[in-house]
Amino acid sequence: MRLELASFQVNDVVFSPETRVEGKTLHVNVSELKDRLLPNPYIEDIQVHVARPGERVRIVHAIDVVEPRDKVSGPGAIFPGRLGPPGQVGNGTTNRLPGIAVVGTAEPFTGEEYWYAREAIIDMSGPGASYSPFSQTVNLVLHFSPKAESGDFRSANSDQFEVDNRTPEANLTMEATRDLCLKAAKYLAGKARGLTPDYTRTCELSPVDPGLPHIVYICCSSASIYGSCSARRVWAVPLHPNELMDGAVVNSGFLLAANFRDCTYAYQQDAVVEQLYSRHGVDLDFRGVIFFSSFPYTLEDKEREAGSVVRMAKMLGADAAIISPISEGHGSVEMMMICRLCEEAGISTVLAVGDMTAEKGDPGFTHWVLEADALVEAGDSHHKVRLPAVDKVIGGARVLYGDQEAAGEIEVEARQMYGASNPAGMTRLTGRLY
Amino acid sequence: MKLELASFQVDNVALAPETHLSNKTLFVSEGELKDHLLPDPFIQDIRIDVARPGESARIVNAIDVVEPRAKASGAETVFPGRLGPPMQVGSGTTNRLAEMAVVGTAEPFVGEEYWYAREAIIDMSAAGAAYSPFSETVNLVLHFIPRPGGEELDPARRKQFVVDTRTREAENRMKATRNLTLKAARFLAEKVKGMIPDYTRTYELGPVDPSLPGVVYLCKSLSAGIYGSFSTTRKWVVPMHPNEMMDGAVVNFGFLIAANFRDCTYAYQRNAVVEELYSRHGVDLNFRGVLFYSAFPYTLEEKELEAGSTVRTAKMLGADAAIIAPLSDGHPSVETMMICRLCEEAGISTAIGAGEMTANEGDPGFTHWVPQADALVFAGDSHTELALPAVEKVIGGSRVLHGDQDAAGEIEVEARQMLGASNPAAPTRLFGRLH
Repeated sequence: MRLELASFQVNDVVFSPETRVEGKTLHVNVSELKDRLLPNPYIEDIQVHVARPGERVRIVHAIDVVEPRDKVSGPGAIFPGRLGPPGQVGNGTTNRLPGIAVVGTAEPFTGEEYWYAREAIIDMSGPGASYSPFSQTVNLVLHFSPKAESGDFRSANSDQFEVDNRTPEANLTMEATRDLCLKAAKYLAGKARGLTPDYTRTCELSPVDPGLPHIVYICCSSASIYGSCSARRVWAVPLHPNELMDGAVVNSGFLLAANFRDCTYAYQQDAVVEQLYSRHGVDLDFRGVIFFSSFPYTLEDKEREAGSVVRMAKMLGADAAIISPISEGHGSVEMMMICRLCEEAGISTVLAVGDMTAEKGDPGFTHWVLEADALVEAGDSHHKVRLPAVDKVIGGARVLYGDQEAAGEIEVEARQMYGASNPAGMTRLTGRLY
Repeated sequence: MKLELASFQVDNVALAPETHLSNKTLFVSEGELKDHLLPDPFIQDIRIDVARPGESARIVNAIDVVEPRAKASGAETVFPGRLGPPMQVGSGTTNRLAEMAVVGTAEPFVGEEYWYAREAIIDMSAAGAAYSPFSETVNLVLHFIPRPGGEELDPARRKQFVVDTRTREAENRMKATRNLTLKAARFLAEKVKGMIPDYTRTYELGPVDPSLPGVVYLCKSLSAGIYGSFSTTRKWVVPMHPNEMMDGAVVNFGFLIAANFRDCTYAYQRNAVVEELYSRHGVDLNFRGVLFYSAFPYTLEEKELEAGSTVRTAKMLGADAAIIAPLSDGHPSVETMMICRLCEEAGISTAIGAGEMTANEGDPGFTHWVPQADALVFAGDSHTELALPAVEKVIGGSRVLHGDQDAAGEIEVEARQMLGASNPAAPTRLFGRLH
């Protein structure tokens, strides 16, 4: 599998009569963009904004973040299974616009029973900026206004609260915001066709010295893979890293806490994948990515899943594995089970985890096994963050956490900050040992 | 993964006061076996019988066939996920009782809406014997009598007939017959613990000359339970080491598919494709593993997902060639052809083992076909009509469901009622000849 990833650097986004890429600036014709995305059966209207690094701007209620990409040659389409049939991707040429991101926002829909994880904040400047990698990208923000009423949900079901409980209509509306973000990202990157890229990288896992240790990346995810999202899936899904770059894996299903959230961008530019790729043939042999789902509820299903992941790793010849769950709670249990089984099967493991230290003395882990002796700490969810007032708010007027005025000074936890402690490495924070 | 498979030859099975193996005869105590299996919340009683090759005996209403196996040591159990937690198997030592089988039979349960695939016949002699590999094993037949209870299927549900429609009560009884068949098989094989086997074979896919072509076996499993989990709508391929199959990680579980194709547990324990690939590992190929793809994704998109996932995984495992042997027809044949096309496009050569369904003259016998499918092994036709002679003894019921015939008399059936007649992955007894 060989993918040419052609990069067209974008340093600014401006509104203009014609959508085009010119001199590192992306010009966007808003009505043309909206014509591309609307009408939609669930979305009434879209407000389009730009938020730039350093501006006194706060984005709230973010859902997904996507890097603009477009497939210009090779089989399949970008975001397969979402914007087209689920045909194999990862070969040919893909254009990307680095430096910018499409951010989708929406206030909670009628019929959406939300919890803390629904809020996701990006501060473009001030102390909040260090809590999100998306304070460094020029963001084209699409704020989605849903079509009217989707029924009253709370009265009937609010006592049976489950993660991301939504009426079917609210769920379809949520999926529509995600799909339209992907569509916008594809549309924008499509404008780079025919231009000369700033740089091109060839992504190929060619055969290397067989003496190098074989490494797999084991990634916990509730994401949509080739358009299919199944939280209860108990079988490991192996992927070639090029498929991630072509958008085979996108944000879907559960909305995870903003600090961990597996936005599409985090799969398109997975830091672990990038690192393993760069060392393929140097000091390791990168054998692939294995996805496992985060939510089998029963112990038996968790055992089945852990067994399936480790078996797959073993069949791929793994000597070592990097395990990074983009979630907490349930996912952390499987992660530790997988760690133990890997080590028993002779596969060395390194875990990257976010922790959840609610109180002093709390170890911060849902589950732990003795074999987990190499952990990378990605950051704490409950760390309190105080953010100053801003000049402009995009995405809504109130912060859902504590119902605070979004433009004012706010107090939140790190888990409300988009990408604050993503264990796949998409984070701006580092730890230091004293 | 290294498995020592220790074989204890069984030439005869006889009922006796104590269960033990002696001089290649397995003595089975009816009382001990029943005490081990009963009481069960869904099964009232079990009738135990033996059917030997060459006898004028007919087994009808067969559900599953299992070779007795048990782990000789360690915490794992055979049939993980069914008879214990779904722990990894495929290593250590496993004892097996060779040349015999446990066959579970049951008449249709109250609340079971059955179709042609429910009947499964094994004739131990005469013309029918050629249509089942189990005419050559000594069979310990367990006939399950369900506890009374359960209701007839709601007529409204009957109208919406789908494959294997059953009430919950009927489903529980079906599941119990399968589990008890596995449990009996383990019980029998546990009796040889500590004894010296007749022969032992080591199964290990050790490193081989890297220039040998990598070969994977793509196995469609319509009704298999993998580590105790069964999903008809699973869209993701499940890769396995062949040793896991030998330890019963894959068993008959979900749909009852036509008897000629049926993926009984025995067909996974002693899979002919696996055995062949193993025997040639390091000789002229590099056996890279078995990939299970599932049964019934109904939509085209799901079929595409499944086919993509299968071929991708094959590629990641370094496959240069694939053997595709779907244990079924209909829906699965569509995915099989899609997988064939994607494999060939990805540079993986394919050979397909397939049964066909030539209902009428001129019918090509395929549900779907792609031009890339240019190497097919023909496993046999479902609709060949057979006339079988009367027998002295019938086990499993008194009527043949197909045409409601007297099971002891001369009967007329199709090949698809014969258990294992044309299984593309199991040791069948028929082969074709080109004239």
